[in-house]
Amino acid sequence: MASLILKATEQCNSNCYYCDVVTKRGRGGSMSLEVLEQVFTRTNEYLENNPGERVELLWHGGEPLLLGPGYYRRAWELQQELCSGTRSRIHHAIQTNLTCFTEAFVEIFRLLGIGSLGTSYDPEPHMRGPGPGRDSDAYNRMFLRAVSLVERHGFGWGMIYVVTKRSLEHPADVFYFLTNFRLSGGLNLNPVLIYDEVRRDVAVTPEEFVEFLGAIFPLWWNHRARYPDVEPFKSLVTNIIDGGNSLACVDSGSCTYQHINIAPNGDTSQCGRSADWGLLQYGNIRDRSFDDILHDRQRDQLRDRITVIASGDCAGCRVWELCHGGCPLDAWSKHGDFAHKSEWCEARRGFIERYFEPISGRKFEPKGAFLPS
Amino acid sequence: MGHHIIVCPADAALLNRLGGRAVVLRLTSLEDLDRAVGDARQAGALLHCAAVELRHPLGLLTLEERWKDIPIALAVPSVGRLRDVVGLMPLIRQMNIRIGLPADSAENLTGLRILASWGVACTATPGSGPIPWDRFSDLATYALFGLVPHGPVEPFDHLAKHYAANARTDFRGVWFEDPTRFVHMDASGRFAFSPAELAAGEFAGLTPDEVDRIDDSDFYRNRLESWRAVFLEKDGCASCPGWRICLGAFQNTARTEPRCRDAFGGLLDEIERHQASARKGRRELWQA
Repeated sequence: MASLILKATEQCNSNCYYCDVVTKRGRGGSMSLEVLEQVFTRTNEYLENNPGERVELLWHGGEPLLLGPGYYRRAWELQQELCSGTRSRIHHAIQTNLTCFTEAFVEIFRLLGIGSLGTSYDPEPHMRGPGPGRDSDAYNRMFLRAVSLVERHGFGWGMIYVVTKRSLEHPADVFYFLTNFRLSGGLNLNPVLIYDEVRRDVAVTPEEFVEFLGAIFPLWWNHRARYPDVEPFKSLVTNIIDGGNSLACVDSGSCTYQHINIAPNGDTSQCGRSADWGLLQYGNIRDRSFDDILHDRQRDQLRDRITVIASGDCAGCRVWELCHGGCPLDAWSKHGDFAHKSEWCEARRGFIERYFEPISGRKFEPKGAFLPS
Repeated sequence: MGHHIIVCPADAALLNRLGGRAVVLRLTSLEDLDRAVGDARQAGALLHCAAVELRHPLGLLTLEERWKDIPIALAVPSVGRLRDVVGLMPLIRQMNIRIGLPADSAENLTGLRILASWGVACTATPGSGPIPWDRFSDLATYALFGLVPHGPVEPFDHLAKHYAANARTDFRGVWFEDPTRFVHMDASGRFAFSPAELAAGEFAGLTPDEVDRIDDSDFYRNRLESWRAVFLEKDGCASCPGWRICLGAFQNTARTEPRCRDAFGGLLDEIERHQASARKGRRELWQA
């Protein structure tokens, strides 16, 4: 399935302390209806040319609900008009801070087939919210009101929690707080990614992230029927214990030919971060088809990276199949090129070896799929 | 007609406005029981139970055989002398009665356990003082896992039967304080979702008809959602492992007496264990 990350707007009302978007100059545009039309034209073209394929269209931002319900209604109309023979193979998803969610979105989200909303939340005071002081109380009230509305209308919801330095003080409290929302979807625990010196006060090291996960893993493991969908724990159970294969994009090693990030002006890139950093730029959707973009030769360097690091940085690593060197963009941010592993690999391996395996009593047995030498 | 059960003073004039509705009659004396039940029947109200709150220990009460068929929630401050209670037991066992004791003393928690062991249905009520949480937890363990047959002990029995991981289970219904089930009426005929809200003037309605239409009111919807406010506080009840079953029932005292956290965290574990073992069924021993 091809994943379109649709940055329909770069405006955002969250004002998160750790977010790159708020620190970038010259950002904040929204996708015109003309570009939006082009998105659906290209989607239809791609699906017609690839009859067995599906497309996931992830509404992202910025804050995508700032565009208002009318924008999504127009998107649905465009899909009806331009994708009449392919629309059953288009799946919509959305990542939103929810604070702008109102009754007016309910019907159009149902029309688009959105049954569950992805969001994020931070109980730490003043990490997000309006104004220079980040009025988190006002923000949280809007969020909770929206959650109530989301649940009342039968939508599911899942959450990303960004682990910062402030999270490290009381990992168990953070875990209980977030799981007490009784999310119908998953809870993803991701480390904050800080690339400047200004906000180092909230950055966490891979080692600190391991300790954070390690502090809460026993709570989850002992009650995993109560807290079913907490990541990265659940996917590790799937891969290590259940013999399945479930890895996030950063660990799968297979993002190369699947993702397209579309900026408000129609410019494409590999993902949100590569777009932010001006890397892996694949041209504008006015000029190129999704097939062309998905097979852009620049992507080959991501494919080749796997071979390079398997015999380089990751040679001999026993958890290679669970990580594949991690996100190439992490490697670029540290080394200036893709041919290295992510520094977060150490967190992955450290957590597995120091916490997951001893506590679960199950040791990861590699399947031998493309093992590093 | 609404679905809420109306908790009201046992006043004939008030009851006359509640014909056809389910009611809990609030009484402070057993002497008024016959009259109150008669008034409710006369008014055509459906008696859910009579909630009788007394100031005397259980052992000092005089119970009448004619009350056998009246559903009664009896709240007393203590058990009193066990030898006195033993004398009441033959009749209590025939009655449709639950006996509530405030959980704010170790003696009462022991008293609840003794009553339960005699087959009496009991309820641990909040009381006005600090709860000895360790003893409270012991009572929960006994109620859920005691192998010798005993009477149900609330709120543990309610939680064991109704707790679900993906739904809200408000055990305060055992004290008539679940807003999805009960509304409280004062002597002036006004309605709120708890005695405290009545006292604070947070009225859900002013007439029985308004209560009938309460599902459509913003006030009701907001009240049902009011539990979410706990998530505005980073270090409050929302970060408690037992939140899923407690729902902040003790949030007013949790800051000064945080041991409720361990008690409800442990209780949640026990509820889940109890439900899991109920699903598995009882172990069959070999037979010769």
